[in-house]
Amino acid sequence: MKENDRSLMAFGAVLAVVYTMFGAVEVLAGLGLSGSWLETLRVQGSIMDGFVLLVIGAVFVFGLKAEKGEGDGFVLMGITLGTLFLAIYLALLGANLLSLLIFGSEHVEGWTLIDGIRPGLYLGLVAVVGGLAWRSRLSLARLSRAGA
Amino acid sequence: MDVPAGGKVYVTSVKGTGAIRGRIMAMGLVPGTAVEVVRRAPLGDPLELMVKGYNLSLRATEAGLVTVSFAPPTSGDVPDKAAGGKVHER
Amino acid sequence: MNGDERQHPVRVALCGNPNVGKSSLFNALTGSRQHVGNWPGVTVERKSGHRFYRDRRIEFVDLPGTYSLIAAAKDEEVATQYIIEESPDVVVQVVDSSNLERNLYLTMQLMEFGKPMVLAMNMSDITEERGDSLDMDAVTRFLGAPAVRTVASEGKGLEELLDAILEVVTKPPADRRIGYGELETTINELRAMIERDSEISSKLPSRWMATRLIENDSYVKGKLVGRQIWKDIEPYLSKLDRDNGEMELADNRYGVIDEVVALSCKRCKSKRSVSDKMDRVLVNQHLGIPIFLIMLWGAFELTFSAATPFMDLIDAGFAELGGWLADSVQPEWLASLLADGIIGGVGSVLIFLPNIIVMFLILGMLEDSGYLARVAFLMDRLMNRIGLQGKSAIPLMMGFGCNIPAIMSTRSIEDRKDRLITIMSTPFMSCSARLPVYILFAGAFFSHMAGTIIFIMYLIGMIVAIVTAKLLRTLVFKGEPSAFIMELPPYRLPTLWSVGVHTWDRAFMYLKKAGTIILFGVMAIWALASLPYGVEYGGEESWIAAIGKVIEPLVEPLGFDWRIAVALLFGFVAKEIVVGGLMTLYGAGESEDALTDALKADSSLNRVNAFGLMTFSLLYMPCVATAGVIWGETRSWKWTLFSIGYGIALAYLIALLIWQVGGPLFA
Repeated sequence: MKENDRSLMAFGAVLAVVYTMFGAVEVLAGLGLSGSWLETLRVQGSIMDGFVLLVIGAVFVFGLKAEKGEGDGFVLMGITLGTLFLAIYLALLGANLLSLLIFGSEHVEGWTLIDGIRPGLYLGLVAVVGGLAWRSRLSLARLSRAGA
Repeated sequence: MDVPAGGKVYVTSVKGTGAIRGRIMAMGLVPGTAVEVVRRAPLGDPLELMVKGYNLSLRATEAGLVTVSFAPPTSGDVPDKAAGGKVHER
Repeated sequence: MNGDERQHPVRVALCGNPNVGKSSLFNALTGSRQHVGNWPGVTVERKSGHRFYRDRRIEFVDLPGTYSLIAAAKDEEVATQYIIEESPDVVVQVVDSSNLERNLYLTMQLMEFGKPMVLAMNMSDITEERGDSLDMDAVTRFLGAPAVRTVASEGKGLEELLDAILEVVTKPPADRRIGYGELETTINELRAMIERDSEISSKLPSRWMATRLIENDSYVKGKLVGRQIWKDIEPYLSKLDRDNGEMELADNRYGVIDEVVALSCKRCKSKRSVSDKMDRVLVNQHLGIPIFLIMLWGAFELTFSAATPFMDLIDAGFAELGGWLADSVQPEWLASLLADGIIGGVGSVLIFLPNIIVMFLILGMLEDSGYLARVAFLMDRLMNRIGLQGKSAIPLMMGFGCNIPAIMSTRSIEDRKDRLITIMSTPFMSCSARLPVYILFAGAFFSHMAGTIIFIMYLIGMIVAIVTAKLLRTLVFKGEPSAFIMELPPYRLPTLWSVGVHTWDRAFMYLKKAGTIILFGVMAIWALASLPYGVEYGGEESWIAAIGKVIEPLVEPLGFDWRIAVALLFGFVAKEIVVGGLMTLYGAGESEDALTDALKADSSLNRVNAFGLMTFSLLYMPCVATAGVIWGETRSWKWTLFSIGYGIALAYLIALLIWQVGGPLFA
């Protein structure tokens, strides 16, 4: 049983806390919590978004609580999920941006680029950084290509 | 037979009839084969088994058709199979 | 080789287990020279294609992926039937080299046909990476069939494969027999009986027939029943301990497989570590389902929101085109035909294309990566409770986006009953085209409760789907639900190319099916709305209004008037045109707000029948294109008509209840 990679686990711990916190905040905002600090953090108040963050946070948490040697996998999966949702949120942002560019701002009800930013996005960026840092562990080459 | 997750057993026989049985055997669950119970699905069913080098999903009802034992097949069995499984040119 | 032989195309049958990259190989070999058709009686597609190599034309037929050839389901029978009856020159089996033992089971059965064979040892990149080495020569020598290393996704090994195919065509098949030990006596006795019928034994290999009989194969049985020899064979078979016989056969086959593997594979230990690690999270006891839920949500968000700008673009484009036509084309009826009819028709199909493409892309990636198998694994217990199985979860969920690709995706369900029940239940999953109708009416009549009402619609849809499944399972398809025996393939990285090809295939199919039907439907509506000549489009004098008025008495008990009846007629063709249709009927074409006001102003409409209308929209046929796809997937008029009729009947009854009971109470 190999030891967990210490730094990876520490990173995982940080993300566990951050994702869970923001997830909780999003859910609470959806349920009625308010305050100007929500604006700064670009919390959308969407319960689904919160759920997403909570689940990803849970993955990290499970990683911390996992048996020896297992934790790495959880943290890496968490990073993967965080990155996946970063991609999703970016795609949504891009779609709105496209609408803006093509149709002008009335079409999208005054949406601006800033509106597209949400916790899942910047937390996802953190996850990506982690992914790059530990990219040897995440070697995609380990997975074969589908339809080989 | 109740096998805990992570347990390793060996097939002794396959009950049942017809198509399902044939399918189970085609997927590798034949007497003498080693099977590892990887997990149960979160809702309880189906089971995930590792057999002949790959992962198979099987419901508890179908898995019940496969009798297993914790004991590996005795060496007495092996010669029988080898004797049967000969490929020769005509 | 003389000149004559050069002319003959070489016919190759491509077979193999599911998930081995057979389609990739087929695509790599035939490229764009493919043709997709249908096997009779089966909904699996028949793909054929060809390629020229060294002056020969080589034709390929892609047989359905199976684990065994014993006819347990239509798929297997189709494969057997093809090999026996259409007699290809060469049989190529695509083998997953990283999963040799189970794949070779099919090989053992194929060898018994006595046809020239070639093994395409695919996925060899994985095996090499794992440090395993497969001795191709040893396999070739042992089995008497050339074994060629391929990596279909990268197009490697194709030439060697084609060379091997051409090589075996000219040589007689190496005659290898699997010895079945104790069973040999029985086999020989059966053979003797079969060979008394010289006609059938000249056509089909007798030893093969004998083993198949022991395994109770329906295809072979079908060939022999009614013949003289059956009178002797049948009693003999009934006295046999067939269960034991089957086991002996399987046992011996695996015995041979063990020998092949031992001979040819060094260091062949299975290492699924990466996939297993991923599964520990993705199929985790506690995390598995939540992760699935967020993936589902992510998929929906992408299909709805990411495709929007493109949809809007198409919408705007068509609106421009329509406007230009209206201005520049004379006479007026022609302009209307082109603008409202054709453009409207084509537009309502194309506008959903970005949506469909994104959905198919996502589905393709999830499928190729292997995650969908995990979804089926997670959902099976739940699905089983309502009479379905794990694989039904995917079409049902896709139904929330659009029923058409959802029903098309039921192809992955092998069992016919399961597939049929899933197809019958899916239309009740409220698709995105119904949403504008909800938004309009919920917004007009329920103001701040609108969101909740819409949610209730979705809920009703799901409940009806579940009840339908349960009813069909208990009343119509009595008997045990099919077994759920599914492979969980290792996770793979989807290649852009393979996902792209699949997506294109499916999108094209959608265009063809939906396109033709919606186009006809819209044209029909256009004609009815524009005639008699000179009438206001969709106005009270038009034929479609006349039809609406004729139907009115039928829908009166539901609280609807002729305008609603007409809107429902529109909705039958496609829900997308309901709102537009209502705008015309109420003369409120400028905007949705105008329509909302008009609706509110209509004294015959209130909360109750609005709710009834929404429910009706939910339950009756989603659109004619759906009916078309249902027909395409079931190939049965009976079921297609049942689906339509059942939907309408259900919609009618429930709307009736709502109006008759709710009307006095709430109106």
